[in-house]
Amino acid sequence: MAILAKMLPQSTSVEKLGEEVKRRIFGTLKRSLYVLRVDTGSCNGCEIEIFAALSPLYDVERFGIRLVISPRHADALLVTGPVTRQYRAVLERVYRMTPDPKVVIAIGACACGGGVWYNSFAVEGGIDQVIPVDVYVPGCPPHPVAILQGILVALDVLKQKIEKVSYREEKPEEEWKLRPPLALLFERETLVKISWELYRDIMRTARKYLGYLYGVQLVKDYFALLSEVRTLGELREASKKIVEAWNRDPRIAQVVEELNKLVEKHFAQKH
Amino acid sequence: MGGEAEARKLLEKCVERLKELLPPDAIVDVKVKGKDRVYIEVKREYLPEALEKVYWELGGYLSSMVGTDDRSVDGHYRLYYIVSIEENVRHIQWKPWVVVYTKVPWDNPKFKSTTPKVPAASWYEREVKDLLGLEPTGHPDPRRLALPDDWPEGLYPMRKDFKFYERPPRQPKPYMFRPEKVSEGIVQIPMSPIHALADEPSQFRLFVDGERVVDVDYRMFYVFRGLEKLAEERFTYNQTSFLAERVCGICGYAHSTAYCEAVEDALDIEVPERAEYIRTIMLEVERLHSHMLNLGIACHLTAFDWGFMELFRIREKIMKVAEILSGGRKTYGMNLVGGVRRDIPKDKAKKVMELLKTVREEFKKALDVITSNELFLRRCEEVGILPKKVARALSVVGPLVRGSGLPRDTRYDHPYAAYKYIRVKPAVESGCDVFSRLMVRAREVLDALDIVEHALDQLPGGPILNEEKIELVEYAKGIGYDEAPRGENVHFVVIGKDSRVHKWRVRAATYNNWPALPYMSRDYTITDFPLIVASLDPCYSCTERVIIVDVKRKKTVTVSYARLVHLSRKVSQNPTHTPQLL
Amino acid sequence: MAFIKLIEHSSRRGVATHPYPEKPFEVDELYRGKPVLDASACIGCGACANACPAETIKVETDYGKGVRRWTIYYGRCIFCARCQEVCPVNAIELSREFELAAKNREDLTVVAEFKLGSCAKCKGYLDVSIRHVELAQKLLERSEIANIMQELARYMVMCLKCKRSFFVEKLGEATRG
Repeated sequence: MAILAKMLPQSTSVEKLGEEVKRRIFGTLKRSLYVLRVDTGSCNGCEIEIFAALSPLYDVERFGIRLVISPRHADALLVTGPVTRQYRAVLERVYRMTPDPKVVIAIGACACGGGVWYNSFAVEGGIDQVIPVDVYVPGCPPHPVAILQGILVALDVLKQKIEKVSYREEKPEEEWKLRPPLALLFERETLVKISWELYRDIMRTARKYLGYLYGVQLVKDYFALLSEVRTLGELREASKKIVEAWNRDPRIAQVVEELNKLVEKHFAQKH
Repeated sequence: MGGEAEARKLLEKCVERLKELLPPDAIVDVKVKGKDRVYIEVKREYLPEALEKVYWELGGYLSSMVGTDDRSVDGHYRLYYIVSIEENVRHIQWKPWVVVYTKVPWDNPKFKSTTPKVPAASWYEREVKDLLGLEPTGHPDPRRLALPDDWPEGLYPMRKDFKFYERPPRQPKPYMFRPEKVSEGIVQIPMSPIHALADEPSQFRLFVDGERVVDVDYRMFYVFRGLEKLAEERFTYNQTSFLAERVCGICGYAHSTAYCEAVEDALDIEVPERAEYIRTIMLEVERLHSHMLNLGIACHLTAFDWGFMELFRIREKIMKVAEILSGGRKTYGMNLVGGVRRDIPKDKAKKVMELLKTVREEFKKALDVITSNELFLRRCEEVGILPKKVARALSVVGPLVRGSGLPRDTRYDHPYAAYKYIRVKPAVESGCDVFSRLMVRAREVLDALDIVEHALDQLPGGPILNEEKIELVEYAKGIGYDEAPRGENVHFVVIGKDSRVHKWRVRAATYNNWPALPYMSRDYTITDFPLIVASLDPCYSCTERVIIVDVKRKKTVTVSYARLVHLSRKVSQNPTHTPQLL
Repeated sequence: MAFIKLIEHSSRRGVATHPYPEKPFEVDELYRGKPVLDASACIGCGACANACPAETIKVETDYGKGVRRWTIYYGRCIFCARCQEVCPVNAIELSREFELAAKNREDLTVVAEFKLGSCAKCKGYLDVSIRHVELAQKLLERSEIANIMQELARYMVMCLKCKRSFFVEKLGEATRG
């Protein structure tokens, strides 16, 4: 350490010095990175994803990243969990025991910001409340590849992909654009003028049968169709196209039938 | 269904028998709910007798115990003892749940402990004492069970007047483990939170004589996150389903399902059949990955890393299945109260079927190689014996109990979700050792593959979510249960105001299994210990929504180093030697 | 014998490892990754903030600046897609992006600000954004009970204070008259 400190240019900021040391160590040492896994009260989700990262499909060891079992051997700490009240002292001790320079990587939602427990009486709410963190890896749990990327970002092998986004509304009238399926309600002339209630019912039915994800997808398709047809007979005929597009799933046919019934009922009420 | 009438009859019989057994003024109120559950209110002074009769005379297993703070409602605390009647009624499809409860007034928070009569209640009562401040009088072991070391005295976090975000000042107090110097010749080996063999934070103390483990002491509460409190005050009932999923990262979906079932039971919400099938599919997918993980870890601990790598490679396909079905590898996020959130379209089902086919083939081959490996067998066979008798007395659950020859399986005993339609035969092995438990898991992997394939094939039509007619009935109570990969999970819910739960109690499988650990590890070597722990497949974070400390006291004897070395050598050279220290 | 079996079995395996990071790792097409807000569609209603179990999405009203501020911190996100499920305008969707490692906490945040509407009576700020009011008006026109709602539509552009005093006045009139 002392020799390294001499090698470095004089720097006013301690953090900067630390950064430089870290860079040189990993740049010049050219040896494997020893990693210690620290569980500070995690639910195990992140743990098994770290284990999965060791498995043949991801295989972190091909980068020379090796799990060790003692803080004294470690170069990097993979910390998971929200830091429970009881664990705080242990984490502080582990951090002190790990030789400098070290990298702390927070794995998972709990470690990055306390997760769902962030303001509970029994947790501290994230690793950075207790020790400094170098890299945050969000996810609940993170994908093994994301963990791998996190370690490589910490070593400056990979560049981070995410950055802060801010948006400010300048001209509210012009900037605002509705997205489908709601946009389709206002954009085109349709067979029946789709009222808000009908839209709501269609949406509800689709969700009830297919859930939020496939439901909205289907409603988008269905509204696109609705704006093309002119008569009810055409609607029935054309709705077969949707079923075709969804791999002829009998389930989709069932849901489309339900939606058709809704539209017909609505149409009958109007006339 | 014919089973329902039978179940009702049995339930009535249970209530009548209990009325006969107890003094006439003991029972205050009896409420039958549905086909298989009954809530019986007893007077406070008769609580131990009532529980004793239900437990021993009616043949019940204590599934959970809950204390609620109802002071804001009627000035009382309530204690619920949830007992599942299973003895001698194996043939009945829906076995009864008997809930014995009593009121404890706010100004006199004491009750007669039931532990002397029903030992299984010990931890539950100590937990109630710590978190709610209800004193079990006559409890044989009234020491602190819950809460961190530095938690102030007299502050009870589960009471309603404690806010979830409060962080009381620390009052550091060193925790008294078992006395530093124990009996002659016994060496303590601490396995602290950071340890090679402990995957999760906890502290084990192994007491060894030579190489032989003579006793185990464990203490965990490093994972106490206060989640039940959060659910009561911060989460709405639909959000809590996602919180429940984070009770445990391995069997989280089982917790989420049990929670939703509890709320659905309380509010009489009918879950669409398709949703029940989808839940079943996801539960079995979870069982697949969890069992493969456990088998892989067992291989790893016996230094047979080929097995670990191969099983984890196969397991990745299961993770892919979960990804296709739910969009997440581990946290599925599929459950809402009233059904599921995501449907399974035909093309996805087809993809999954293809993956499962390769998984089945590869798993069978891998299993063949693993079980024909002499080294692996020698490490697993005849190690960590849990006799049938002990398993029954401790009422352990999951592969642990099935590995000891007892056919307990919630999927069979209390059919839930689609197990009403798909009957499961419990996989039972009678070896009582680590190998038997591993084989139970291996068989369940193959069974689970069958179930997923069958359920995907037989998926019924209709909606998947029923959230239109949900009406929150205040203080309605419900029980939810399912068979997680590690055994039976039981959730108890009392519905509260503002679409929040009034009380939510999670009882995870491992909670019942921990007491078996000392029985299993005694008389084996230190190297076997991690394997035995792994065969229990513990889930620390499940158990530690609350805290467990189990410390036995022993006489303090000073022992010289020379004497210690002498004893160690002597014992290690003579494996048949039994020291009189025990 | 056992080891011959093992060697035979292993020799057929081949390479299982994915060549990440040389090649990007493909997750399933419906993987639940980073939630992305389409800020041009968002109305700042706060349904997502209400539903978020981790409370990582927050929507707050800043009367000083006259904006409704939507923020997310991906670090705490649990990727449950509840926000996507409850969004009335489908402005937030979970993408397949999952490599989210970042060196700064700030890099994991998104902030979007929407201007608050103004009260028709006192000209002060409303509690909701301009877009929110606009959407409500648009949908009201499309509603089957639009004619009944015409009268009530006036209150939509009133702030809470004015609404209160207006109703008290009306109530007074009604009891007197």
